[in-house]
Amino acid sequence: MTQWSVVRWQAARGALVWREWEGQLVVRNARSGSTHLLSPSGTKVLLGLIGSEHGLEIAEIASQLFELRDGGTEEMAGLEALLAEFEKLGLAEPECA
Amino acid sequence: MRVNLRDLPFDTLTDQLAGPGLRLRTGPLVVRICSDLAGVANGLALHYSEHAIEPESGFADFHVSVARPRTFRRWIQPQVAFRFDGRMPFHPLPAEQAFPVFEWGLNWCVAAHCHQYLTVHAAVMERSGRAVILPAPPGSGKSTLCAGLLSRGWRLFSDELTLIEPGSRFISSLARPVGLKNRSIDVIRDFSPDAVLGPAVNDTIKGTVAHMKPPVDSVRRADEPARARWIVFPRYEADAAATLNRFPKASAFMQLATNSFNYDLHGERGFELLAQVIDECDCYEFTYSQLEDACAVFEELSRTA
Repeated sequence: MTQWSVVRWQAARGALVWREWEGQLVVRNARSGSTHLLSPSGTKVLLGLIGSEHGLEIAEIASQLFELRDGGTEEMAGLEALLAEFEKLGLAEPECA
Repeated sequence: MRVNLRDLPFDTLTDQLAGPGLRLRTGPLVVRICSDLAGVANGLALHYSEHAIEPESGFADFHVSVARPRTFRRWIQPQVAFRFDGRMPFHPLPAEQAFPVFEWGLNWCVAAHCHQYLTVHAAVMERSGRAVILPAPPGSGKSTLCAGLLSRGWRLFSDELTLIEPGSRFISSLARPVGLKNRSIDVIRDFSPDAVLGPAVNDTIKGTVAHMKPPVDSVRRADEPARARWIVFPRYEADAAATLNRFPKASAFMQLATNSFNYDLHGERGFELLAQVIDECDCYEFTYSQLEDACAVFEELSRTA
């Protein structure tokens, strides 16, 4: 579990405008000018990060947003891939130590 | 006093087109047209007879011409070229396509330049003050559906371009000819015997095309905007029953943004505008094969609150 919990993730808050319909988020990133449609899981994670003042570790995302107390490797790897995708799109970023 | 194109004797029309140009109003826009081609004059006289003509000294949003390029092809397989501010944005096309070339060129002018609006590649129709936006790729039966709905009490805004005004979210009407292609030409001839269709032009890049004259009521009321109430993604499918299903709003947003010519230019304001439009609309996907059935579904839709 330790390998997942060392980095805190934050939403690129100042750059984002978003709207949620029926559990799906559409988000515009002012830095890239791109607009993205997120999956229900992506919606949950990004809204969780936006609502979290100090960001979230991946283990916190798993437990707080998905109620995965002992998240399996597959689920955690899925979350990690999602966060990496968010970072690529400029929607979220890992907090520098 | 409003002067309509039909008030001009045909000789005066051709003289103006060949000389200083004809300033034609279509909705909120004025286009100055120069052309010495009979195909353009005939097309304008037929399809734009109820449109207003602006004075020679008036402002024009676009200055366009449709003319034969001065090349050797003037004598062998003659062509026509569309020019905007003297520049030629497209390759010339065969001379018999003169009127379609004008129509396609004017569509391009609006799509490429009218950034005072959020512009979406979608048809718009109106009923009882509420508009339905119909975004769809070519071949989906969008224009056929529009032409059919016109004979069932809907008002034409456009079969190609949705112009949404930021701030008010009102959609402006252009009320121009409806472009029909291939089989849909005969479908509309059968479905709407009173519809006025221009000559069919064969072998265009879109196949055989013919334009349908916009109804008089749609042209006369072109200064009455409307807000969108429905967004419907139509799709023609052979032998399919007319079926209207809810479409997720988030996906509808993305479809409209993707089909917009200038969503990116509007930045955050464009996002907020589109989001408000989505908020105010019911969104559907619609499959149909029979125009009569399709019109019945839209009749039902128009009765919803």
